[in-house]
Order: sequence, then structure tokens, then C-alpha cells
Amino acid sequence: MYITGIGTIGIFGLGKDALLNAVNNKISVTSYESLNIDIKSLVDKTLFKKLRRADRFTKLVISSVNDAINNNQNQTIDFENCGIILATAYGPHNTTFKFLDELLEYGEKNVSPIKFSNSVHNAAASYIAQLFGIKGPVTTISNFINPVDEAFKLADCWLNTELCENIIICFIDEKGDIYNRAFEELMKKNSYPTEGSCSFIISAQNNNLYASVNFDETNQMVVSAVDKTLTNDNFKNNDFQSCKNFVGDMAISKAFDIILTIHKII
Amino acid sequence: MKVYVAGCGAVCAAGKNIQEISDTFKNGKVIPAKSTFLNTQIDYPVFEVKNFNTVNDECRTFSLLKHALIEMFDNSVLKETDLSKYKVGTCFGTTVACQLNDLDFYREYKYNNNLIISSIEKYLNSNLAAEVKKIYGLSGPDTTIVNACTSGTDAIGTAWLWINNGFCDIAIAGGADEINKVPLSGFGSLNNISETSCKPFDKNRQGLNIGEGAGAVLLISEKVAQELNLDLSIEVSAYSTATDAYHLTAPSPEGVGLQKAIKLALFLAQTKPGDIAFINAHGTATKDNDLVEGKVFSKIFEANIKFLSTKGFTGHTLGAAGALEAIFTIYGLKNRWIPRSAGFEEIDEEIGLRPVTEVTEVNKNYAITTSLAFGGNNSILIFKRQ
Repeated sequence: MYITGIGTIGIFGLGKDALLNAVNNKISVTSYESLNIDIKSLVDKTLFKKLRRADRFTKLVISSVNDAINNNQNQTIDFENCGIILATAYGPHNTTFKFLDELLEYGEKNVSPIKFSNSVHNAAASYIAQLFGIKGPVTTISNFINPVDEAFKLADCWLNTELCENIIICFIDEKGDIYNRAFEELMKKNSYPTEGSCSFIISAQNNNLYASVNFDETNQMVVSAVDKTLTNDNFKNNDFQSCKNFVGDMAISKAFDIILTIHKII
Repeated sequence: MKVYVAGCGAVCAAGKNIQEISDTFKNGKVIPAKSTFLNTQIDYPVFEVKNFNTVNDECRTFSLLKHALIEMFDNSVLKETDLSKYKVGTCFGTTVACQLNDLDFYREYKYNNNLIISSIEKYLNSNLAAEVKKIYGLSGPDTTIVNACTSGTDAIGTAWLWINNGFCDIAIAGGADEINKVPLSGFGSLNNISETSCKPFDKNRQGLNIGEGAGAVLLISEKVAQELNLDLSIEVSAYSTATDAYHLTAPSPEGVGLQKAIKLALFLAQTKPGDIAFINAHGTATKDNDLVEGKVFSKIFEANIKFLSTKGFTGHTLGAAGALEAIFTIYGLKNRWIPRSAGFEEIDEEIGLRPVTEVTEVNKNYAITTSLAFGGNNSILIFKRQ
């Protein structure tokens, strides 16, 4: 399978160039005043016009999906035959806690149906499908350890089985008060809980691509970057440059690493 | 590559194993009642697994799943000890176990600023696929699918895809969910819950009843079946899924995604509507779901297609539903009978189809199970009897 579009949002800003700029200029995660993404200052609000009921988790991931679609090197995507794989570790936990606030404050009979429906893990993928008219397979996965490899494996299966022709694979995790506290208590020192999203447009067709993604006999992901000035190289898991110093700690951080790998920053 | 079903385990309000569930399906009735373990302000009747003890420090969802896994290995010729020779994947669906929706934990945090670390650890140890992988020491892919009510179907479908595409030789897949205040009050806020026993496809249906349970299936590749000289009778013939892109909580009125998913699954299974012995429908007993399923069945299948909903016996077990109903489909196909669609009494002319109302013999070799979900997901599994 082939990566033809890349989108991202993080504390470094919006888009892969912002990420690459942070890495190239060694702008460490410790240099930011806040580790929360200010979506309003980064993303054109018209993108969210049809998403007034969506939560922040959804808006974060839609920002990176939209960026990937705009960045796609194959200009047209057949959304009728496009799938979505949304991978996250913890899902929209802030919305879950808002729903629990309602349960505690107003009682079980008086909770908000909007907060409930947005607290369901696959709500964000549903909003993406509705916004872009995507009608292929849509799946949300929750893995705490490495959701990135599993999402790409599933994409490989979907394309090989011809469930769809293109896939938007998106990764998202969001910060929150409990997340921060739990991170402080459970994680080692010098870890920085952050938030962000990466999206990749995946195609079965190998034109206008950034990279190809395959799996070797041990199921290790192999990314082969394409660069006009360099020979193609294969990069396996151990070769990936860690973005941690520039994007912080997230279960989905390997998705950011892949963007660096594709751009030969190793 | 063919993928076979080598074992199944199930637990739900209709019984704590497949034989008990089968007995209930044949001769029994399950009446939902207020939960005995949830201290709720609302009186919605639920389909609870009675006298089920959750293992200490474990979420109830995971205890239910472990119960189903034990039965799955008990009735399989492949044992836990055989797994180390193969690449084995784990894929499970859930809606409750993926959320930190522990109200006692949250109350303590919100009002006393006290973060109970044991609750966080319990949550982190509840990722179904990762935990099952850990318990059995497996080396294949692991994914927890969180697609709301299609999760169990998608988990089995994903396991089928993994084996077909060489990511593993064997997969343990299914779904599990417990009765919890979040979905109970949430579905209540959407006016989707019936205050009496649910009546799937009935003219007077009033909504769903929440249930709980777990279903687990052991899938193996044709190659492994041959190596082990196993004679297995049920094959996973196809899986497909498509979305409506219509609304967060309502299906497309014409069932756009459901039609697409069924047609693609039939194509992948290389079969046709006339070859289908029966459909185990999602049949939640909500106005919209049953109407859409009925419309789509009318469009694709013959007018006399045999179909049923088992939710009148189990309630809507959310992330477990697709897995349990896949197991009921396998059982029906293998044993050549399906139960009555419990709760149905009077035909809804708008739907125009009548589910089976008594234990019914089925003789064709393919069967379908359909699952629909929040967010517009529509997922299909087709099984084949050899």
C-alpha cells in the first residue's frame, strides 16, 4: 500500500511542514508554554461549520484528516470507495468525563444525549465520514501499546480484500486533567504528556506517492520512502527516528515518526 | 484461503454456555428485570447474566470474556498449549471496557481531587485484545475494536482478514460488554429503551433492552486445519462493512450502507441471496433499526427469507452482540435449526416482513448475521456449512 497524503496537528502547529520545521530547528517539547493544542488559532473555523455538536477530540482529528486530504498528491479521492481507520489509545475521554459529570450532577434521567453520543469511541470516525461523504468501511481501534502498526495491518487487509480503494488512517490522542495526573503518577520522569493527530491517505495505486508500506515475514512494518534526490530505502521499526522530543509522549507517537522517516530524517 | 471455526464460547442472559443458551432458545424465555448489581435511579429492565461473579480487580466485561474463552477451548480440539506453535492474533470488540467510566473513581476525583491509581490500572488492564494476548502468551496481532454495536462482528471479521492476509494462522476473536450506567442512561436519553421486554420487528416495538455477555470464537486457517487433521464443518465465508455517512445516531433511512455491505459480503462469499438459509438480524427493536433492516432484506432477499432477532433472549449486549450473534448463527447453521424471534407478535406493515415465530428448520448452506451501529456502521459476516 502507498501513502499519498499526510496531515498532522500537534503542539508544533498544523501540517507536516510545521512538524519538520520543529524537528529541523530542534524546537523541543519543553520549550512550549502549554502542551495543549490551540485549535482555534491553527484551523480555519469554517471546517467545523457542520460540526457544531462535535467535541474537541473530533475537531483535532478532523483537522489532521483535512490537512491530509489537502496534501494528497493524487488530487481526487473516490470517497464512495474510501475507508476510515481511526486509531487511538484512550479515545474521547474528556467527553466521557463530561458525561459522568452529568450523571453525578443531574442524575441518570437527565443526561445529555449529545454528550453521550459524542462519548462513544467511534463518534469521531462517524463525523469524518459524514463531513467528507465517505461510504466505505469505517473502524475505530483502541490499543494502549502500539495502535499504529495495527491500523496499518488492517488497512493492508482492507485493500487486499478490496473492501475499498483508498483509506484514511488517522491517529489521535487528546490530553485532559485526569490523563495528565495519571501520566504524572504512572510514567517515568522526563515524559511529557501531549496530544495530537496524524492522518495518512492510503492508496492501492502506486502513483504520486510519498512512501510504500509493507510488512515483512515477521509482521514488522517496512516503510520505503520515496525522494527524488535519494535512493529508496527501507526502514523498519528500529530505524524510525523518535519524534518524542518534538511532539511529546503519546501512544500514537509512531505515526509522527513515520512522517519523519518518509522525509528521510533518521 | 479458507478460515474455519474451531471453537466457540458464549455467556449471556440466556445461559452461561452454548448448551444452556440453546436450551433457552428451544424451550425457554428470558424476562428482563432491573439490574441486581447496578444501583440505578432508573427502572429500565435489563438482560443480566445472573449469579455471575466478577473476578477481583477485574472489570466485569473482562470476567465475562474469560468465561467465554474457557468454554471456547473446552469445545475445541485445539488446546491452549497448541497455540505456541503458531502466530495467533487476538481481536475483540467492546464499548464499555474501552472507557474509564467508573463512577466511583470519577466521583472521588471530582469532589476530593483524589486520583485512585488502582482504578486507572484496572482500566489499563482491560484492553481486551491486549489482555487475552498476554494471558495466553501469544505473538500475533492484537486489536480492540470500538465500533459501538458492530464491534463484535468487526472483531471476527478483522480476525478473518488477518488470517486471509497472512498476519496470523489462528485468531481468537469476539466481543464482550457488561451492563453499565453510561450506556443505560445514554440510550435512555436517546429515548431508545423499552420499559418492557423488547419486541424486535413487531408493530408495537418500543425500543431495546440493554444486555450483557461475551462471545469468543477460535478461527484457524485451512493450512493449520490440514496440519492438525481437523474436520471442521463451519467456515467463515466473508466479512464486509460499509458506513452510511448519514447521522451519528440514526441509520440511513434507505439502509445505504447496509445494502452495500450485504452485497459486497455475498460477492466475497461467492454466493447469492437465494443460497442463504437464514439471517440473524441485528433487530434491536428500535423503530429505525428494524425498519431499515426490513427494507433492505426485502430489496435483496426473497420475500420468504427466514430471519430472526435473538435480542428478545439476550437484550442488546452492545460490543458483545455481534460476537454472540455470530455464534448463534454458527450454531443454527451447524445444527440446522434457529429459534423463534422472541418478542415478535404482530407484523409491522411498514416493514412488511415477518421473522420466524417458532423453532425453524434451516437447510441451506450459508447464513448471514447483520450488525448496525452508532455512527452509521453496517457489518456483515457470512458463514458456510461444509
